[in-house]
Amino acid sequence: MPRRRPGVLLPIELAILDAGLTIQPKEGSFFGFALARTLAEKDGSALISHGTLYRALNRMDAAGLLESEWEAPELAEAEGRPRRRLYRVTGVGEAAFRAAAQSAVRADQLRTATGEALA
Amino acid sequence: MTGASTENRAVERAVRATLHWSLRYTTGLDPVVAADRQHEILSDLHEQAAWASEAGISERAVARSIRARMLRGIPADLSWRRTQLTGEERAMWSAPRVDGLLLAAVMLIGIAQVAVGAFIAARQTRALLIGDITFIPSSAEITIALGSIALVATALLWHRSTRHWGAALLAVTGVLIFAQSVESLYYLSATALLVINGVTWLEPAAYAIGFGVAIVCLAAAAQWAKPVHLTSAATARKEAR
Repeated sequence: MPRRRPGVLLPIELAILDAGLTIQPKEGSFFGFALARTLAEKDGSALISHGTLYRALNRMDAAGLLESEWEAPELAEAEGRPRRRLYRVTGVGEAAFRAAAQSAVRADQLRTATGEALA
Repeated sequence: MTGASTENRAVERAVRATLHWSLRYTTGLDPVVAADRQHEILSDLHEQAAWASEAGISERAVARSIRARMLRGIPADLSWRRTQLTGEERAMWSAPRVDGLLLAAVMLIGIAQVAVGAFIAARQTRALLIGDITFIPSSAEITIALGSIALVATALLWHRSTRHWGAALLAVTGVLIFAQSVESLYYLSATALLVINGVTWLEPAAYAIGFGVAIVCLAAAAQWAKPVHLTSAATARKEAR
């Protein structure tokens, strides 16, 4: 099975960084279900499966694209719900997202230029 | 028993099933890693139920969504478990790769069905020309008709927007064409007649192949029936501008 090149973001990782960077400025951090909801709202699809979401979050956490911590139990208890694992996009994650987005723009420009040259 | 309590129980059952599954696939892992995943799933389920209740989504729809999220995530859960046990991240099959493999498989199935239809048509024509038989058996007619439909269905695979119709048609033709072709050969080929008489399981085997083919085609049809979402990439590009 082919291995992924280092530094290359998978579409799910790109989408998570995108959604995370949308929520983070407003909320400070984000948790799994908030991310699932944002992803579904962004592309109008069904909620992402638990397995896909948490495996990707786990992998991105380990890769340093995200950082996570469990919220204080008192806060969750006061609100009568289970504790949330709170994630933040790290500087590395943000830089990787911007680089991926820029390379997508460059690929777009190249395609347009090639199309114009051939037309 | 009221409808509301039945619906509430449906959510409870879906939540219990998901938690039970999380306990299953985290068995034998590092206790901290396992507990983290179980708590995260518990939190997710609670948040989804709370959000759905606020948004006025029916309990039945919530239960369905929870179950669907759990079932769709099973391959990822198992892969994650494997990573935890071996410490090795296994490369994933990306959506375009899966899509490409499915297309190749369904295209091959389509070509095989067209070939079967064409072969029976050729044998039938030959048999009529040399006077082997003076009629067209209904199984041969059906096989040739199915082969023709398969030709149209294979052509439908060409465009992304019609691909799911092509795959669905190939599922229907696939169930029948192999068994019908075996039956046709009973009339059209002396060698086949001997084989069919000697191998009793040939027709059930042809149906089994047909059902297998139909399952692949239906899975592909389901995959292609979903609209393609390019929003994330588009958003990423907008963000960079």
